[in-house]
Amino acid sequence: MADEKRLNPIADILANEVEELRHGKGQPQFDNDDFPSADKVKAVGERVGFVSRDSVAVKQDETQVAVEVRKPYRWTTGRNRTTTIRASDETINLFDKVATKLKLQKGVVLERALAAFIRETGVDVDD
Amino acid sequence: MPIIVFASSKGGAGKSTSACLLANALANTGANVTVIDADPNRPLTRWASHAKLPDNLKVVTNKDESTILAEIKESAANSEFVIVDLEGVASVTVSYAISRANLVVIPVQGSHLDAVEAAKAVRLVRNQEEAFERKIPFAILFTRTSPAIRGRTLASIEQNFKEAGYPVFTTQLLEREAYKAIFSCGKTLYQLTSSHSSNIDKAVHNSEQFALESIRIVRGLPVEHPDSLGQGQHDEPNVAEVA
Repeated sequence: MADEKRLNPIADILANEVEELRHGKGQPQFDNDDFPSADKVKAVGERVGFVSRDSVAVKQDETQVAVEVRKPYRWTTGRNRTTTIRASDETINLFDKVATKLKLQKGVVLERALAAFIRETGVDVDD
Repeated sequence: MPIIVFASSKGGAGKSTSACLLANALANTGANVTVIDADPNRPLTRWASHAKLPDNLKVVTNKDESTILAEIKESAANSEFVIVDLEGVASVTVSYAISRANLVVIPVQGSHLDAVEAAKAVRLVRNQEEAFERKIPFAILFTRTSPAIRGRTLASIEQNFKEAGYPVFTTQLLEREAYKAIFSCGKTLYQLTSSHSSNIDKAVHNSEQFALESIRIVRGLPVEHPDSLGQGQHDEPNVAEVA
């Protein structure tokens, strides 16, 4: 190592500089009490885009608000039962044509047809 | 004793390598050196865990932005030199470390992307200087430059920095296999042998030039051109402008 140092005198110059610094020649003077507070440093940094990268815990209340914003949208018709009706081909074909023509579900056609029939005949069904 | 901070909001600019080289060179003079690894990727912590470091060179790991100021204060009380390797982002941790620095080294590779991020670090330094009425010495350090050629992009960036009044290290950390071997072999620069890498003497010389220049900036002394420091053994590139 001694031979290497002779070949590289800059190492000696560096060692001398460190030694002078160690003995207070040109040593920077600083005192931790003189430094600006963390809050002030943070504020100056944030002005030029140096912001906190630490993760921040989200309060539970904020989470609940986010979850309760909206419930899933559901729409039900109540038409969930089936029945079998014996009828002629012509009647069944007519039923299909009416539903297709009006672009309605068959359950809706049946509801409207019954309502019309009740109005027409005046039959009392509320007993 | 001095706190020397390595800052650039761009990753891969050479912060960890140059911080490690400075720590190696200063510890080799016999100085007591503490390196604070404040990079979340922990490159120097990993290096230290594999390397057999001399007693006067220590690497400590900083947890997060809430601990960096206390870590610097404690290290400064126990060491002759404190070297802080920061993360490659614009963060509060960087602001905190710079607020305590006696020298801010801003590594830059010869690319405009690095130069833009270096300018951000300079802006932060100057804002702190203005806000706190405290002089914070800083200088741009070109890293991974070619020993043989000097590209036009690098020359253009260097010229831009000088025109903007940014101090630039006269020493450039050259692209050296030995600098990579430090990390791949888990050694200090001074523990490497010819079986690990070639041109170790040139790498040592280059890193000591950088260390010497750093100390002179800290001491407020004029920086001499590396050509005039020491005699012979110069690692100055044979400068040639190339496209």
